[in-house]
Amino acid sequence: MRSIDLQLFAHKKGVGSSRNGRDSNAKRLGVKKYGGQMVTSGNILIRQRGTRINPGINVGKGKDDTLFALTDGFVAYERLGKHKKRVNVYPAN
Amino acid sequence: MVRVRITRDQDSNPLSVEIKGHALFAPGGSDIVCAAVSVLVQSVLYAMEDLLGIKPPQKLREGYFSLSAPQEMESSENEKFLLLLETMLLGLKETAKAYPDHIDYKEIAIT
Repeated sequence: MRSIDLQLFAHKKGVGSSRNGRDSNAKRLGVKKYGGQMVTSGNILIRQRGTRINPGINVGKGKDDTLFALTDGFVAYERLGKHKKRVNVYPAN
Repeated sequence: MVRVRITRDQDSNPLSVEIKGHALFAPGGSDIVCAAVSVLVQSVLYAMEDLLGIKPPQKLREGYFSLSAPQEMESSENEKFLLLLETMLLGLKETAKAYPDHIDYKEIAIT
Protein backbone atom coordinates (compact mmCIF):
# COMPACT_ATOMS: atom_id res chain seq x y z
CA MET A 1 0.00 0.00 0.00
CA ARG A 2 1.62 3.26 -1.10
CA SER A 3 2.12 6.08 1.37
CA ILE A 4 4.15 9.28 1.29
CA ASP A 5 7.17 9.38 3.60
CA LEU A 6 7.57 13.01 4.63
CA GLN A 7 10.91 12.32 6.24
CA LEU A 8 12.56 10.50 3.33
CA PHE A 9 15.51 12.90 3.37
CA ALA A 10 15.66 13.36 7.13
CA HIS A 11 18.38 11.93 9.25
CA LYS A 12 16.78 9.14 11.26
CA LYS A 13 18.51 9.09 14.62
CA GLY A 14 20.16 5.74 14.55
CA VAL A 15 19.93 3.84 17.80
CA GLY A 16 23.49 3.59 18.98
CA SER A 17 24.66 0.45 20.71
CA SER A 18 26.15 0.52 24.15
CA ARG A 19 29.02 -1.64 25.17
CA ASN A 20 27.75 -1.76 28.73
CA GLY A 21 24.79 -3.70 29.99
CA ARG A 22 26.59 -6.73 31.47
CA ASP A 23 26.54 -7.75 35.13
CA SER A 24 27.14 -10.90 37.12
CA ASN A 25 24.48 -12.54 39.23
CA ALA A 26 23.95 -11.13 42.72
CA LYS A 27 25.72 -13.25 45.37
CA ARG A 28 23.39 -12.35 48.28
CA LEU A 29 26.28 -11.48 50.58
CA GLY A 30 25.85 -9.90 53.97
CA VAL A 31 24.89 -10.63 57.58
CA LYS A 32 22.42 -13.50 57.93
CA LYS A 33 22.11 -13.62 61.72
CA TYR A 34 22.15 -10.47 63.81
CA GLY A 35 23.31 -9.85 67.35
CA GLY A 36 21.08 -11.48 69.97
CA GLN A 37 19.57 -14.00 67.58
CA MET A 38 19.40 -17.62 68.66
CA VAL A 39 21.27 -19.96 66.30
CA THR A 40 21.93 -23.65 66.09
CA SER A 41 25.19 -25.34 65.21
CA GLY A 42 25.93 -24.97 61.50
CA ASN A 43 23.81 -21.87 60.97
CA ILE A 44 25.46 -19.41 58.57
CA LEU A 45 26.05 -16.10 60.28
CA ILE A 46 27.69 -14.05 57.52
CA ARG A 47 28.37 -14.38 53.79
CA GLN A 48 31.32 -12.17 52.87
CA ARG A 49 34.27 -11.67 50.58
CA GLY A 50 37.44 -11.57 52.66
CA THR A 51 37.16 -11.30 56.46
CA ARG A 52 35.25 -8.06 56.87
CA ILE A 53 34.17 -9.67 60.12
CA ASN A 54 36.43 -12.23 61.75
CA PRO A 55 35.36 -15.53 63.34
CA GLY A 56 35.21 -15.40 67.16
CA ILE A 57 34.22 -17.88 69.87
CA ASN A 58 32.37 -20.96 68.61
CA VAL A 59 32.42 -19.60 65.03
CA GLY A 60 33.99 -21.34 62.08
CA LYS A 61 35.14 -19.94 58.73
CA GLY A 62 34.56 -21.63 55.41
CA LYS A 63 36.92 -21.48 52.45
CA ASP A 64 34.85 -18.63 50.93
CA ASP A 65 35.12 -16.74 54.22
CA THR A 66 31.57 -17.63 55.24
CA LEU A 67 31.19 -17.58 59.03
CA PHE A 68 29.00 -20.23 60.70
CA ALA A 69 28.06 -21.27 64.23
CA LEU A 70 29.90 -24.23 65.76
CA THR A 71 27.41 -24.61 68.58
CA ASP A 72 23.83 -23.66 69.59
CA GLY A 73 23.59 -20.28 71.27
CA PHE A 74 23.22 -16.54 70.90
CA VAL A 75 25.03 -14.35 68.32
CA ALA A 76 27.13 -11.45 69.57
CA TYR A 77 29.20 -8.99 67.52
CA GLU A 78 32.09 -7.09 69.05
CA ARG A 79 35.02 -4.93 68.07
CA LEU A 80 38.41 -6.54 67.64
CA GLY A 81 40.98 -3.85 68.21
CA LYS A 82 40.58 -0.49 66.52
CA HIS A 83 39.57 -1.51 63.02
CA LYS A 84 38.29 -5.08 63.16
CA LYS A 85 35.10 -6.82 64.24
CA ARG A 86 34.33 -10.36 65.14
CA VAL A 87 31.28 -12.51 65.80
CA ASN A 88 30.87 -14.96 68.64
CA VAL A 89 28.27 -17.54 69.57
CA TYR A 90 27.69 -17.93 73.30
CA PRO A 91 25.99 -21.14 74.44
CA ALA A 92 22.43 -20.59 75.69
CA ASN A 93 22.65 -22.24 79.20
CA MET B 1 22.79 18.72 3.22
CA VAL B 2 20.54 17.40 0.42
CA ARG B 3 22.34 17.50 -2.94
CA VAL B 4 20.12 17.91 -6.03
CA ARG B 5 21.78 17.34 -9.42
CA ILE B 6 19.89 17.75 -12.66
CA THR B 7 21.34 17.09 -16.11
CA ARG B 8 19.83 18.80 -19.14
CA ASP B 9 20.40 18.29 -22.88
CA GLN B 10 21.27 21.00 -25.36
CA ASP B 11 17.56 21.86 -25.67
CA SER B 12 17.41 22.28 -21.86
CA ASN B 13 15.21 19.25 -21.46
CA PRO B 14 15.89 17.42 -18.19
CA LEU B 15 17.62 14.08 -18.76
CA SER B 16 18.12 12.91 -15.18
CA VAL B 17 17.53 13.96 -11.62
CA GLU B 18 19.50 12.74 -8.62
CA ILE B 19 18.82 13.75 -5.01
CA LYS B 20 20.84 12.38 -2.12
CA GLY B 21 21.70 13.19 1.47
CA HIS B 22 19.86 14.38 4.52
CA ALA B 23 18.61 17.90 5.06
CA LEU B 24 19.79 17.93 8.72
CA PHE B 25 17.53 20.92 9.35
CA ALA B 26 15.98 19.26 12.45
CA PRO B 27 15.78 15.83 14.05
CA GLY B 28 13.96 13.11 12.09
CA GLY B 29 10.21 13.58 12.31
CA SER B 30 10.36 17.37 12.46
CA ASP B 31 12.65 18.23 9.56
CA ILE B 32 10.50 20.57 7.43
CA VAL B 33 13.11 20.93 4.70
CA CYS B 34 13.28 17.18 4.31
CA ALA B 35 9.48 17.08 4.30
CA ALA B 36 9.35 19.64 1.47
CA VAL B 37 11.80 17.65 -0.66
CA SER B 38 10.06 14.39 0.15
CA VAL B 39 6.59 15.62 -0.75
CA LEU B 40 7.74 17.29 -3.97
CA VAL B 41 9.49 14.16 -5.19
CA GLN B 42 6.84 11.65 -4.20
CA SER B 43 3.88 13.75 -5.32
CA VAL B 44 5.28 14.14 -8.81
CA LEU B 45 6.23 10.48 -8.97
CA TYR B 46 2.72 9.42 -7.99
CA ALA B 47 1.23 11.92 -10.49
CA MET B 48 3.36 10.42 -13.27
CA GLU B 49 2.19 6.94 -12.38
CA ASP B 50 -1.49 7.66 -11.68
CA LEU B 51 -2.22 10.54 -14.09
CA LEU B 52 0.08 9.71 -17.01
CA GLY B 53 0.49 5.99 -16.48
CA ILE B 54 4.24 6.42 -16.80
CA LYS B 55 6.75 4.75 -14.53
CA PRO B 56 10.13 6.24 -15.47
CA PRO B 57 13.34 4.41 -14.47
CA GLN B 58 13.81 5.48 -10.88
CA LYS B 59 15.30 4.60 -7.53
CA LEU B 60 13.70 5.78 -4.32
CA ARG B 61 14.94 4.92 -0.84
CA GLU B 62 15.79 6.71 2.40
CA GLY B 63 18.06 9.61 1.60
CA TYR B 64 18.26 8.87 -2.12
CA PHE B 65 16.20 9.43 -5.29
CA SER B 66 17.14 9.20 -8.93
CA LEU B 67 15.08 9.33 -12.11
CA SER B 68 15.86 9.31 -15.82
CA ALA B 69 13.62 10.65 -18.57
CA PRO B 70 12.12 7.76 -20.56
CA GLN B 71 13.27 7.76 -24.20
CA GLU B 72 10.37 6.46 -26.26
CA MET B 73 7.36 8.66 -25.47
CA GLU B 74 4.82 10.29 -27.76
CA SER B 75 5.21 14.04 -27.99
CA SER B 76 2.01 14.83 -26.07
CA GLU B 77 2.91 12.36 -23.32
CA ASN B 78 6.47 13.70 -23.25
CA GLU B 79 5.12 17.22 -22.88
CA LYS B 80 3.02 16.26 -19.86
CA PHE B 81 5.93 14.31 -18.36
CA LEU B 82 8.23 17.33 -18.72
CA LEU B 83 5.58 19.60 -17.22
CA LEU B 84 5.37 17.40 -14.12
CA LEU B 85 9.13 17.00 -13.84
CA GLU B 86 9.77 20.73 -14.25
CA THR B 87 7.19 21.34 -11.52
CA MET B 88 9.24 19.15 -9.17
CA LEU B 89 12.48 20.88 -10.17
CA LEU B 90 10.98 24.34 -9.77
CA GLY B 91 9.80 23.44 -6.28
CA LEU B 92 13.23 22.06 -5.38
CA LYS B 93 14.99 25.13 -6.77
CA GLU B 94 12.83 27.55 -4.81
CA THR B 95 13.14 25.49 -1.63
CA ALA B 96 16.91 25.47 -2.09
CA LYS B 97 16.86 29.28 -2.37
CA ALA B 98 14.99 29.47 0.91
CA TYR B 99 17.22 26.94 2.69
CA PRO B 100 20.65 27.20 0.99
CA ASP B 101 22.39 25.60 4.00
CA HIS B 102 20.29 22.48 3.68
CA ILE B 103 19.74 21.98 -0.07
CA ASP B 104 22.45 22.27 -2.72
CA TYR B 105 20.71 22.58 -6.12
CA LYS B 106 22.78 22.36 -9.29
CA GLU B 107 21.92 21.95 -12.98
CA ILE B 108 24.46 20.43 -15.35
CA ALA B 109 24.17 21.05 -19.11
CA ILE B 110 25.16 18.06 -21.24
CA THR B 111 26.39 19.28 -24.62
